[in-house]
Parts: sequence; structure tokens; C-alpha cells
Amino acid sequence: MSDVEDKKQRWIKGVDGAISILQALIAQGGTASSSTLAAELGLPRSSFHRIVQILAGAEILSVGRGAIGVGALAAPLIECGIQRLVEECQICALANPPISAKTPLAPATRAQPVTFSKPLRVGRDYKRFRIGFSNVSLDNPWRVALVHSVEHGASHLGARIARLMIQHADNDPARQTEQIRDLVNEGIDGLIVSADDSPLVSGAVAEAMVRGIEVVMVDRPLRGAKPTSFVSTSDIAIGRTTALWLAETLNGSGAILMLPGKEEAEPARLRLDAARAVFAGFPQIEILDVTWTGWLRRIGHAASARAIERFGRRISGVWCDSGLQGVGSMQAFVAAGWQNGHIPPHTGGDLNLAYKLAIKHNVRMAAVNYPPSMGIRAVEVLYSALRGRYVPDRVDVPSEVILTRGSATLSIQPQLWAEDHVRWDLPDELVLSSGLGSAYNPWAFRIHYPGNVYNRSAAQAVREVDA
Amino acid sequence: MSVTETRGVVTLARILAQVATGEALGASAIAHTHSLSRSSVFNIVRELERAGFVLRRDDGTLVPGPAATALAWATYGLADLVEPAGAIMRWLYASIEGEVRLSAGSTTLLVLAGPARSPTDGEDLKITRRAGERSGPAEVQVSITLSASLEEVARADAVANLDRAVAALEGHLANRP
Repeated sequence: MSDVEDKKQRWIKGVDGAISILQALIAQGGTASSSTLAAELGLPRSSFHRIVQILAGAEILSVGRGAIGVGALAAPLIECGIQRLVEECQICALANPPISAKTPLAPATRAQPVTFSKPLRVGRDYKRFRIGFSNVSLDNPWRVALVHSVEHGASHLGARIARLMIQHADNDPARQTEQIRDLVNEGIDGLIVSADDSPLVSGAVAEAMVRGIEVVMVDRPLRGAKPTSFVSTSDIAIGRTTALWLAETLNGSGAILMLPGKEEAEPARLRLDAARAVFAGFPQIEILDVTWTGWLRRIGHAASARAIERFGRRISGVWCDSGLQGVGSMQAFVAAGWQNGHIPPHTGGDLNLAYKLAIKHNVRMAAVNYPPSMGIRAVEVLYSALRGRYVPDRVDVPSEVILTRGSATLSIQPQLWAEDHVRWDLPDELVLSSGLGSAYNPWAFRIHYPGNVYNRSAAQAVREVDA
Repeated sequence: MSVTETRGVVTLARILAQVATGEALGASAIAHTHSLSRSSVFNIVRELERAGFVLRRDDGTLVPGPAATALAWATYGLADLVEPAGAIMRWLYASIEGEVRLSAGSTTLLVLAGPARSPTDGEDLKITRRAGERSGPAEVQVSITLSASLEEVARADAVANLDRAVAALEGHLANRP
């Protein structure tokens, strides 16, 4: 061995010894007897004491009567830990809306324990991560806004990520499974998934996690998979709040249509179940018809047009879990010749056009937006997990109760008026609560993030033809 | 122990003491400030980074890493709580409108301050919960400080979230080895 190598080996031995002592002290809970520690580490006694002496001189350790503890340096280290936490909150603070915008917690949520996922890997704080987003489809404006939101989250992280890759599956679970496997083979560190409930996709997610890839589900959970985290909004709150408003608006009596979203998507099922549970408490409310709409405007339009033909003026209210199909329903009433102010009250917001139509035709409306900003939050949660942080198993992005002016009921008060929320200056297809700022326009959306050379979004908004 | 070994440990101690000051310096600035060999500082920083005692920020400056915080928290027997407690406090902070604080005895381990308040908000409302039975050198407490002007429903939600956070913390305290 050359002199230089020998010197390096000795030098490493001393540094390694010091690090081992600090690690052993942490494992021992902060205090340990010198002899136990020395024996455990197998360091020569003299070397052990010399290292301890040096570390104690720098106040990293404290030494007294055969025991070793943490020195006075603990106090400034705690301060630095606080600063680190503050910085982490600042990096991941895009999706945090004002808390005042929150809907009140449901009684069941208040009692729900909050649990956290342990990271699959540790100590990758400043690695640049490769992230994949597997998106079920782009078949409505909300899904376009979700993709824009994920892209915005990645853009905000900037050089902290190496690449964001996005794939759309056109509602085909087999295709989505294949895309997830492709993304994994591309070498991604973390994956965001929004999928219909399918054993195939659940299997692909489980395979990815076995390979050490953190997976954050967004918008829709998979019953067969246990991801790192699930980011959404309380669908039960959406269903319950809007149904209670409709029941109270009708003074507990009337005949209603129910137009839920997509049967294969758990959010739609949860909202419908929650709404049905509320209506069950109003025996004078009759449900005339329930039609799954797939959150598509044309199906919402067709369902209401059919119901108008069949039930005519008996219809006193329309419950929709989103304005995506709600706009089709309102347009069907207008097309059938119902005068402004006489169209039955509707529920379901999200889409700018829903607010425009409600205000223009004087339709009483209640909405709890399903915020696409959950895409930004999903990126933030994934980034935290990739850095080796614990993250909540479930993250609920807050949303507001929005009513048309004068439509408050005994139990449902607005946090925003629809008249203040609508954007007359922006396209009908704008999905509100996107977290992308007040100037966000889905037609003009351009974004830069690592992996996106031409600043084009992976989701181009499509103009929906009036039904 | 040889002079070379001793020199390595002295350098390590100086680096740790320097990063604990909170002054944002990179490895070469630390070498310059403390008249240490540049290559030694870079090599030791690499070892400290690997062990999690030091983190390198995007701008190259060094800060204490999670292992350094764990060492400090070990004073209160809470070394293994650093990461879960950080996640719980981040969650609580995102869930309420106000300040959240985790303490061991009279020492604040973590604090995240709420948004700026209006001077007309009135007195703050501080709510404190003890987390678990005292098992270490100090009692662990979580507290939130809310603006007095906060609506009653939001306040009730904040207290419910505080209780949920404390329950999560107690879960981690109870499951420690």
C-alpha cells in the first residue's frame, strides 16, 4: 500500500468511527455508556475515547461519568431542522388554497385517523427525479385541467425533477397497464396515476411499487392497490352538500332527476351514494330517474331531454355531481322552452359554462368544485415521498361551496357566490379551481418543465360542440 | 489513533459545528473559513451526506440533514420521530389556519407559523394537547394557535385536526422499538 493510500485509509477510519459513534448514539436514544458503545462499535478503546473527546470539544457530544450524550450543538441543530421544514413547506405550497376556502369537515372525517406512508427509499434529497403520469383519459375539460395542473406542479419544481412523462390511456385499462409498465421500464422514480378501477391497472401499480417506485393516485383510487398516497377531494362532501342544498331548496318535497358521472369511477359512485343517503332523509322527495352520464355534456343533455318528454313539469330539481354534464341538462331545459327563472334548480359546478348558464337563465345552483389543483398537490406529495419523507396516505384538497346569489338554505351557506366566481371573460370550457391562477385559459395554456422541449402541454383543450 | 485519523475527526467536527450555525456556506467556503484542506472537507462532506448528517442545497450550500436533526432530537429520546413528526406537522399546518408547534418540555422541536394576522384579529387562541404518556426525558406536546376571529366551525375543525394529528403521533410513539 502506498503512503498516500495508507494515509487515506487511516483518515477514513477516523471519520467513519466518528460517524458510527453518532449513529450508535441516535440508535441508543441519545445516551449510552461509553464502554457499551465502544464494545458495540468494536473500535479500539483509545481511538474511541479520542474521537469522543474531539466531538465533545465541538459540543457535538457531552461526556460525563462513563456516559455519553448529545452535546449543546443539539439546540442549533433543532433550529436548523425547523428551518428545513419551513423550506420544504415553501417548495410544496402551490396547491395550498386559503384555509378559509375549506368546506367543513364531515362528522365521519373528524373521527378518521390520519395515517402516513413510510418512504420506500431513503436519503435521496437532492436527486433529480424522473416522474411519470398515467392518465386514464382526456375525454372532458376537467381531465384536461388535471393534466395542466400536474404539468404546472412539475414546472414549479423546475430543475428538482429531471423529466416528466405523460401518457393518456383513452379509458382502456389494458392500454393504461401497458403504459405504466413502459414508464417503469423508462426508469421513472415516481408515478402519478389517475385510472378507472381495474384489477389490471392495480396489478401494474403493485408491480411498480415492488420495484421501489413511489405511486401517488390522483382523483380516483384503485381498490386493488395500496399506493404511497391518494390525492383527491371529499366526494362524500360533494354529494352530501349538493343533495342537502337541493332538498332544502325544494322545501323537502318534489321530484328530481339524478345525473351522476361515470359508473366506473369511484368518485362518481361515492357522490351518488352520499346524495342518495341525504335524499332518503326527505321522504317527500321522489327520485324520478338516475342516469349515468360519464361526465359528458351530450349525455347530460340527452338524459334531461328524455326526462322532460316523459315527466314534463313534474321535474322540480336536477342533481348532477358535476357541471360537466350539468350544462347539458340546463341546455336541454332551455331547448325545451323552459323560461328563465323556471328551470329547476341544478347542482354541479366545475365548468365555467355551468356558472354562466345558471346566471344567464336564472337557475338556482349549488356547487362544490372538484378542484383540478389536486394534480399540483399530487406532484408535491410524490416529490416529498421521493425525497424520503413520510406523506399522508390520503390528501384531501379543500374546495368551496358556491351558490348562485340568493340561493342559501338553512344548512348550506356559500363560501363564494357564483356571480363572483364565474369568468365571463374566459372560455366556457374553463374548469375553475384549477390552482393555475386567475389568468389560466385552457386554450392558451403553454408550460415549460423538464422533458417538455416545445412548451406544449400534453393535453390540448378541445372545443366541445353544443349538444 | 494516528495524527491523520485525528485530523479527519477534527475536520468533521468543524464542518458539523459550522453547518449547525445556519450560515449558508458551501464546502469550499467552509474550507476557506476554517483554514482546512479543501479536498479533506469535500471528502468528509461526502461521507456526512451519505450518512444523512449534511444536506447539499441546490445552490451548493450545506445544511444539517435528517440524521443531524435525529441526533438533536435524541436528547429527548425522540430520534426516530423526526420524519413522521415532520410529516404530521406539515399535514396539520396545511389543515388549519394558524400556527402549529411540536414541543418536548420547554423546547420547540418544530414550528410552522400561520399567515400574517390583522391587528384587529384580537387575542390568539392557543390549544395544546399532550401526545402519549411521558416516556422520555420530556413531555411531548402539540399545540395550535388560532386567530380569535376564526369562525366557530373552522375552529372546531382545527381542533378536530389537532386531535387527529396527536393520535397519529401517539401511534408512532407507541410503535417505537
